[in-house]
Amino acid sequence: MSILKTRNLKKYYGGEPNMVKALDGINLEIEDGEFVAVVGTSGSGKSTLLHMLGGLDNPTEGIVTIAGNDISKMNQENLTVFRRRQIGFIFQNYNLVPMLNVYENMVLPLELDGKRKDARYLQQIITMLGLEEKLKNMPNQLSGGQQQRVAIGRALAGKPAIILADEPTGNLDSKTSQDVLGLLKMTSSKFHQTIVMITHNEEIAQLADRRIRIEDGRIVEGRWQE
Amino acid sequence: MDTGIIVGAVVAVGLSMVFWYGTWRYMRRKFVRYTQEMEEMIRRIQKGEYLNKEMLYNETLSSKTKQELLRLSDICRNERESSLRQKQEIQQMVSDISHQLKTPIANIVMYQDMLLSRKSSNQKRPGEEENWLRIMQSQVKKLDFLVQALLKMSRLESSMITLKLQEENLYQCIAEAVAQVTRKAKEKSLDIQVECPEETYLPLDMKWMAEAIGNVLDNAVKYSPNSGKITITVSKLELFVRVDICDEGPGIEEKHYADIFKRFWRAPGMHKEEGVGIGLYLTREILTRQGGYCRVNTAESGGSCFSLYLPG
Repeated sequence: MSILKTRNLKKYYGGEPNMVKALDGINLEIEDGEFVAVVGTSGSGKSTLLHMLGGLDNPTEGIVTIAGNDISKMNQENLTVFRRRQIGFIFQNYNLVPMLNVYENMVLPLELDGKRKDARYLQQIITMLGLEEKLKNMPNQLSGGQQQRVAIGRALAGKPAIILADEPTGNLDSKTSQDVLGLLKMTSSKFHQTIVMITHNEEIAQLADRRIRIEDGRIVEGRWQE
Repeated sequence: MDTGIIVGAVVAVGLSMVFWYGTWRYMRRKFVRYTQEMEEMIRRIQKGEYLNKEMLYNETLSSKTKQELLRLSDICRNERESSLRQKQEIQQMVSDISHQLKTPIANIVMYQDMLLSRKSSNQKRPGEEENWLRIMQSQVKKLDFLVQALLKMSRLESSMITLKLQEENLYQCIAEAVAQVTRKAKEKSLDIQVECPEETYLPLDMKWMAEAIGNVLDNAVKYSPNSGKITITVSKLELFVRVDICDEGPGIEEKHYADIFKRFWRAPGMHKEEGVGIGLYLTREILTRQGGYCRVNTAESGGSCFSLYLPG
């Protein structure tokens, strides 16, 4: 079953004659539980694609469906709630809330949603991420790799339909990157979590079950699952 | 005076009874409505009807519950579909391998027939029979290899075996894997170097992990030039332990990095080497099931470098 689908997705910036076609007709299907890497050079449109998939920006044309919901038709309020419940984000620069400690950061999406916390599940995540001893620490007391691990925990805590990761190892050294990637991989296999990861690095992309290559706003490889 | 108090008390009790009755009625009506809504939802899910999902994303209790219901139905449908897909995959696998089994069997039958028919005739050429027998021998070996591969894969595929993770010494695991290829390595006079702390305890499944390392080593031996060098290095990251296995073979093109771990994938132009293309697939499966992962890289020497990661 495909959990994410796009039909003829387009995003144009500016008007004629200087129109930039960041995305030019993307048709994509991602299966539940798949770990997909989107690769492309900078400026190929891969980040724009991620923003569209996460409902962070509106497409010029086309449809994005996540878990059967057409998010391009939602109003702003519904979209906010939808994002909180169904999408987990992992950014290159971690985006943790500096005033909250590690645990508070992780459960923030749950708190906002007024959801009851699944303590056993949370404990499982915390152990997997190796954060047991850091729960009371503030983000600025952590290394980059640790901060990104917290971000992974935050994305996982809400059991989202899909996790979107934008260059998750972009700010990390090679050694820490391998840890973070391992955790993403583990997340995908252990929790059957659907992950879409954006990267410009082929070496990282090979971890994914499928690789999608984007050039000039179009998919040139890996549109369908084999 | 007394009657005033009594009347007052009666009125107060009466009023509060009316109030509580009203509240009870109100709550009950709300509860009934909520239950009906859920019932309706479940009925529609059972029928697989279209649901206006947009309405679900607001800040009400019923929206949350409905969403959980929907998720549950999604999970059920998913499981059904994935078991169907698995069934098809296994069918595919069986037909693939049985196809590969046909060729060596046909060869063996052919040479056998030739040998049998030769026995009576007298136009024998010296060494010819032995040559044929050798061909048959190599075909039998191939059959054996295929059957072994099939066995291994079917065991892992059907999840008949669940990996048992125990604190084990990785060093021993590597030693076991190296022992499996020592004979073949000697034939090509390869030099295998292992750099690993003798006490590296990790949660792993000894037998399957040795298999995973062994499969990579097997390839390294197969593709190494004579008297080449293979190095196995173990290093510790913060959360994972990495095992690098590097050879001096022809290496792997970057565009095939992701392909090599796929089932039945063979490098173009490498079909003369024996194999069915499941070794690395198994390696990847085994690592994934232990919470790890693997990837490939090109070493400075131009050979390939496999990294296997295990949570440590």
